[in-house]
Amino acid sequence: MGIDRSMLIKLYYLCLIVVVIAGLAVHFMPAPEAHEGAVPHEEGHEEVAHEAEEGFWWLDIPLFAAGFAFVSGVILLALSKLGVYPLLKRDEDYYEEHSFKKGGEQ
Amino acid sequence: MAVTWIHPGFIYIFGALLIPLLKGKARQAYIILLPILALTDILLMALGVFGELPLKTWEIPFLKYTLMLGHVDNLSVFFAFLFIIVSLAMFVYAVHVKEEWQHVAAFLYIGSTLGVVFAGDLFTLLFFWEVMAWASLFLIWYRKTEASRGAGFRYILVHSFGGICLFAGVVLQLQATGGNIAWGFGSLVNPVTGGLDLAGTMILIAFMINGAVPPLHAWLSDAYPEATVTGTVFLNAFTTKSAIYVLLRAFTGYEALMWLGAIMAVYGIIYALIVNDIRRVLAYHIISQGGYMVAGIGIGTGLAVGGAIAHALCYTMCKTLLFMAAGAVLAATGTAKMSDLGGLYKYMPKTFWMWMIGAASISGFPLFAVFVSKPLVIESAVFAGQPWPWLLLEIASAGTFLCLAVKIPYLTWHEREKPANIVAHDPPLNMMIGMGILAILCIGVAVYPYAMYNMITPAVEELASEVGSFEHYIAHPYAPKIVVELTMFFLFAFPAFWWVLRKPFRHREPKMALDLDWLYRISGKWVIWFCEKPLMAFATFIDRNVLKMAAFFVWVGRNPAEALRIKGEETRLKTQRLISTSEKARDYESGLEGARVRFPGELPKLGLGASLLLIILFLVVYLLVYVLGV
Repeated sequence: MGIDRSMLIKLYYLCLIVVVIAGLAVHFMPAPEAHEGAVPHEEGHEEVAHEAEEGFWWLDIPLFAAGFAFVSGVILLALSKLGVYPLLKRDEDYYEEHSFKKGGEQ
Repeated sequence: MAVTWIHPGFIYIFGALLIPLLKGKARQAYIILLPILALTDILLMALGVFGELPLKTWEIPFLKYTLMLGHVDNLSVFFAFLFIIVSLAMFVYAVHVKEEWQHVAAFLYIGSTLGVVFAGDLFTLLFFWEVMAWASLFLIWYRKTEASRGAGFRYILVHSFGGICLFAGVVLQLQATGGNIAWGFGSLVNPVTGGLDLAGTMILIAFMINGAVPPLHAWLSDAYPEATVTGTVFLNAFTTKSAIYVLLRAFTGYEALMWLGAIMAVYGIIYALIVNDIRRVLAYHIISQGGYMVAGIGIGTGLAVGGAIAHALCYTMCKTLLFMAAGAVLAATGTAKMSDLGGLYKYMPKTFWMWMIGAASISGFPLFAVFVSKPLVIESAVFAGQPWPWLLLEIASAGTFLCLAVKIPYLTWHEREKPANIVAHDPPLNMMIGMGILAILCIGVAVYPYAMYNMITPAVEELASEVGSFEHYIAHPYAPKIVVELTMFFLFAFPAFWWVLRKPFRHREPKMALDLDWLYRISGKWVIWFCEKPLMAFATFIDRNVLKMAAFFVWVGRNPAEALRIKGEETRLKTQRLISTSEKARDYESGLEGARVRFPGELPKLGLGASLLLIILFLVVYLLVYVLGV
């Protein structure tokens, strides 16, 4: 394969740690706009910025994106591969078999 | 001196006419030259060389109406730019194709798409809409397989239905507006009720068919994977994105679209995760990504509309790149089915990295294309206080990453050794350059998104009621919170496949998944059977008896009196056979035989009175039938 798999896995774990720390940092640090000396909002944007900070309550949970991504990924994959696929899968020549020309009179 | 505006669509349409006359390198150079000319044209347009936007030009009298082929404003210029720049990369990718008529079909297809983009009236829109459908059909049929022939027929049937809906909508709109054919200058959504009239509904159905909005989507996943290697690359970009363009023009803020878009995003990704053919995965993924744009149009705020427009550009570039990489696999190995593939990395490493750039872009990794477009639409659902659409769009986002950036690369390029029966190698130089152009654009647009945002802002101002949310967001597209949260999103979605559900996906099956096209593919076969068997038998029965009856009347008409006498004799003969001796009956039979031989004999001469009597008799019978209602 040409790619060192164990090194990739170590790199992945390292990225996870870094991103979790960064996630906590951006969550608990005040928004840049609130800093002293920060550039004020342009005229007419105050209301929009305020609205943006409100959002849904669950978006304020620390590391929400991480948990959501994992759970939604599992649910989606399980739903599609274990739920929907067995119901809908057919042989590739399904429509040919159901053809009146090839499959005989039906 | 004012410079006359040149319709870029006509550069493609009339330029296509020369292609069959050219050969070899000259043809290849010409094929690349045409999109470059169109690109120059559109850049001049954006710079205001042809006049300040909006322009209303190329007006042609038609019957009592005036057609407008050139309605040039910020939105149309942006979409035309998108189509032309993508088509340039596509033609570089496809320049080696030897069948000149495939190139002609592609040029007509793109030219007519640009015709739709610049249409300023309903008739022009309808005309180019139809040309677009028919030109694209040949890109499917050129595969020249049984499957492509069938898929092409179904494709054109569905699009013909869409064309009829659009035509009906146009007629109803003309009736409602007293003959006003202007198009693209205002929404078709009623500003008071937020609803649609019948004309608007018909037009919306037509647009939804081209946009592959479920339940009107099945033509896409049926037809696109059956087209030629380069045909699918062309098809992926124009029909659905021109539908997004017209939806933006006419239905921005129509709330139903927000729900349809959110459902579309999840529906498409569920199918993309389970189908076996890579090009069909991408076809379903067109539906999924279209959902973000449709939802953005439905939400209708500045951020949502801006996100939808930006996504049209970013997503089209990376999806085209993915189709090109999938096409390269198909061209090299002869198959795009994951059940037949695996271990290609050693043989097609460049194609793999092109795929990965496309996959990272479409997933929305920071510094890759969709990072600067899709989050705008998702964020707009938050601003609009719509938790369910937000949830569906976010779930689809995780699915996109898992499907295109994890599952397909793993199953196609890495897992197991390459099957011995397939040959694999990176594609020829022109295909690599085509992919390279788009890879650079995918990264370039994300590294410096302001060029795109600056082009979009005036269009957002034209369409959305407020642009504050859009301007606020694009001021900080790389805000630390957005970058960190999205990176976290992908890193934590990865184990859902790798640690939890990799095993079931490793089980490769050469299977297909039923979709809503089942309804017309199976019921269509029953319709054909009904037409071929019972209906045909009934028609033959009717045909035979009508012919018999006609022959009888012809026979009677030769001498009605004698004919009636013979028929009377025949009846009498039947009675005689029942009640008298066989000898007597034989006498009757021989008399009857003589009468038949003599027939028609001498015609009786009827006097005027008798003729009149017959006419009166006929009228009385007619009157009785009429009055009694028999």
